[in-house]
Amino acid sequence: MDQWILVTFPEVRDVLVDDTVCGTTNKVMMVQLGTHKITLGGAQNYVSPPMPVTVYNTTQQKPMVLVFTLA
Amino acid sequence: MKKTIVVSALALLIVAGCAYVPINPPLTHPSDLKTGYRWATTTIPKRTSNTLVILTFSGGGTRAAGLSYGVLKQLDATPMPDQRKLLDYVDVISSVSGGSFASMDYGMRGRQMLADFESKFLQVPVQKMLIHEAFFNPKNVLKLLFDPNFHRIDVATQVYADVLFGTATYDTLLQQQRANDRPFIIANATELEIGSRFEWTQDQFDPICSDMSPIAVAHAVAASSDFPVALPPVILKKYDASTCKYQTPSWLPIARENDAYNNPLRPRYATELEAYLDPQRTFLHTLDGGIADNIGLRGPLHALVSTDAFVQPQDEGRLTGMTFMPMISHAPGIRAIDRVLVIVVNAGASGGVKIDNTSREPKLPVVLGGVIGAPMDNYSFDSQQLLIQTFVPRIRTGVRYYPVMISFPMLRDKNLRDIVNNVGTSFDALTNEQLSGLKQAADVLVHQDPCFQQFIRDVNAQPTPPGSPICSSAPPLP
Repeated sequence: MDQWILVTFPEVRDVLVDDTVCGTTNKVMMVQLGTHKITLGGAQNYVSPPMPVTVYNTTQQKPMVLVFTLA
Repeated sequence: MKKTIVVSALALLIVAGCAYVPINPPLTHPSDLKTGYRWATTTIPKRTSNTLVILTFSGGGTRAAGLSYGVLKQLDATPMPDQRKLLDYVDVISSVSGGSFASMDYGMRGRQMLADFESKFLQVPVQKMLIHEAFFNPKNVLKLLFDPNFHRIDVATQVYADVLFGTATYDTLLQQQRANDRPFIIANATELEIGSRFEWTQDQFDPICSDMSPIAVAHAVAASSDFPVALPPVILKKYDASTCKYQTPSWLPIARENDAYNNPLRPRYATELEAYLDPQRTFLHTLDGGIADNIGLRGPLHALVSTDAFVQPQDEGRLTGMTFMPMISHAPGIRAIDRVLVIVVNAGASGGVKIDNTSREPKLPVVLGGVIGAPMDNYSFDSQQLLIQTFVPRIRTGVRYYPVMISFPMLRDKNLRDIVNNVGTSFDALTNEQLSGLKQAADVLVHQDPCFQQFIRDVNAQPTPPGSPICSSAPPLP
């Protein structure tokens, strides 16, 4: 079953799911049900929520929101 | 007396030359997603088409090969808006057993295969050749008797090489793919002890630290169609993970630790990969791909729902194992997919009364056929259902999905259904009637499928006429 996340960040960056580029910041994206390490591409100048994160019970309209901030 | 001496001398010569040499050499450099026959090295992820086309070819001897060939011909007769043919859009062909003869030959020779596959394979008595070479060719008979490292499957490999594949290797296949932008061919076998699919791709060979580039593709097709008991397994050497500095992908420990109950698919996949890495395992025994998945759908299905692969991504996450998720998600810098067409070619037969017309005890082969065949058929049906169940909830995602099911029970014409259902699953030559029936079945089944019809309408921006059959995962465009 597909799951959905929204990674928010002040900049446009690649979003990597378990080290694979799967989407962009600030856009809803599809991930596999389960637990993942979500990271951003480019400079490591950000603070992420605790990882890994388990994504479940989401929809495209109600994704899990992961707030990343500039370090 | 003289005969005995000659035979003994020949036997001694054979034994002297029978040191075990694995068919698969080690990977001597660190595992690298830029080399070898794998998803990341093909032109497929870099294509510009926003339509992903996946074909899967089932097992079933020349019946499956013939039906698969018929479907390829139909796609070659289907024009697309840019004047190319739908066949040119095929990205991946995942195949099993008899279907692997068609997929691999198309991967090697492209449209030339459509011109002569009938005369080179479908109407050639390959089964008789196998029996002749194994039991009546003195050279092979002696070798089989005295060389412990020469098996009947090696005879089969030689026959397949003679008939279709020659000395072509996976390096040749990659060159052909890149030069002609052909599909990525996945010949599927089964690892006997692990019980999992074994894909003949470098992504699968990385965990065993083996380089598949110099391996003849005939070996892969032999493994994919290696009928259990009748033929022994294709044996591969498994090298230590340190040989190629294999890096376990980062998803594995995370899924292993956390997802046993969230999503059991992931720890199961992790278990498979760990099994290949087990240092106690020094060889692999591969048999017919039909044991693990007789329609070749599970690999593409996995790539449609997961980014997990047997290789760690490189190049900042843009070089990966085969996954369609980033393309479907329109990930930046990656081919964007708006349509997914999956054509499942299943040559499984049905119907007919063979034992239920008598109270006599059925013969052992019939019983074994049922015991083995029923779970395979049921699993194949479940795989098809799983594909549809994956697609239907994605209707509102913006990407359109078209699952096309090519299988004999969907034929409405009973005469045609009887003809194709009665084609055997061996490698006997097809009669003209059988070949014609399989080609006709491919024609009918492709064009009557509502999702295929919807796909054609959508790519041509045509409206859906009232009363058109419904493709549940791709309703008419608003």
